[in-house]
Amino acid sequence: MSKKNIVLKSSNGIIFEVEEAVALQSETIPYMIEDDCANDTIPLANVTGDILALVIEYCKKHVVVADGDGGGSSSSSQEDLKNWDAQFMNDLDQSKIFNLLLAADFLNIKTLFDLTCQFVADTMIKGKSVEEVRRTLNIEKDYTSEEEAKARQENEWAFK
Amino acid sequence: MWNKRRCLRTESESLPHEVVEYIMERLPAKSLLRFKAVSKQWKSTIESSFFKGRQLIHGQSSGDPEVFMMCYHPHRVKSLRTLVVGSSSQVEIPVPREMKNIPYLVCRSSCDGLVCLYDRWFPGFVVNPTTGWYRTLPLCDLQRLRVRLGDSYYTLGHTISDLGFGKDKLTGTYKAVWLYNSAEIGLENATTCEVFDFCSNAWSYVTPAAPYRIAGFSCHLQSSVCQCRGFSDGHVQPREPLVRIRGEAVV
Repeated sequence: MSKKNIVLKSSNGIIFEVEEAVALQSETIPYMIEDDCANDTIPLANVTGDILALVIEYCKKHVVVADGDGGGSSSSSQEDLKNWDAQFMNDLDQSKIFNLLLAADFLNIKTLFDLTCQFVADTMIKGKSVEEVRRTLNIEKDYTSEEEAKARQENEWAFK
Repeated sequence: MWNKRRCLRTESESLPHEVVEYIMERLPAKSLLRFKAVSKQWKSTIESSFFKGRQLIHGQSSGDPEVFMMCYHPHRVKSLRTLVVGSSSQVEIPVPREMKNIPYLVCRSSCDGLVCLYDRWFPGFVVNPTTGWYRTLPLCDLQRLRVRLGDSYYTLGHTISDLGFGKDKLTGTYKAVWLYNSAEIGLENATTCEVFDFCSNAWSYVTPAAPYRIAGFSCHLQSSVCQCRGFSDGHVQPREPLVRIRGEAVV
């Protein structure tokens, strides 16, 4: 029996053909298949080609092997997967990470969303200064100087 | 929460706030307190009870380091310290100044990273070792009675239970509870139960209380029902871990 493939099209028109099991890690894609015709290309207007390539790379690695291998999900393979995830995230720059996070949210791939959120929290936010967080997340300072001083003073302890 | 369709967006250098909130809930309480200074929106998110709940759930499921609380000095508790397992770094728990030289008992039921310290004569308090937040507990009726009777209280042969501390899962509020025998101090029914509600900041009686007399038990709160679990005397032992604290509350 041949495996069913799904064709995805990025916002900039790049076509990816993937196995159904890979694509179905997204909880959004099944709705799109229902909405459109199953044999047609699924357009992903929110995701560019380079980001979609990353998403597919992640999903291929995490696809659950349903048959063969006789239950090979040992603890060592779990460990391998964790190491792979860490390496996968480490290789990305900030812009890619943010867009991957948005794509994981839009495509509703929970494990990728969790992985990316945790990576951003641990490496880009936690332990940083208020100014660094504003810069990283492109947040406008809407406090007046007095208000900001007050907010800092109220939680002075947390700045030590 | 997952299937919100987003408006068209291509390459992005920033993140919408609802996505940022998912990142924020993965941050430790100390970072969150500092980041109240980032913007008004961050402040209001961090202070919202909805976010606090999410952050707590996340902290508990992600296996953050457990904190053991230790007594700094066996008899005069000048300060209490936390010992973070793994890093062994010690943090001094801020104790309200007027309460510094009182040896406290500690509720063994820690909840959301909060610890309840109490005394049978003096007002106790609940402290969050992560943030330094604390709230004093006023005296309950049993404590008032003890103060009024002074040493003659001991002639009554009344068994003092330990204070229980926990979260009412139905209302989400923290509560402290005393459960004690009634007969010796001239009250009706087998036992009397007083509960402190942190929302109303007052003690009230729970009726009916436990139908059978108790002996050397402590109370734990679960789903607004008092549950008794027996254990040995709850006195502070020097240099011995007292309470296992899981999670961090941003109170």
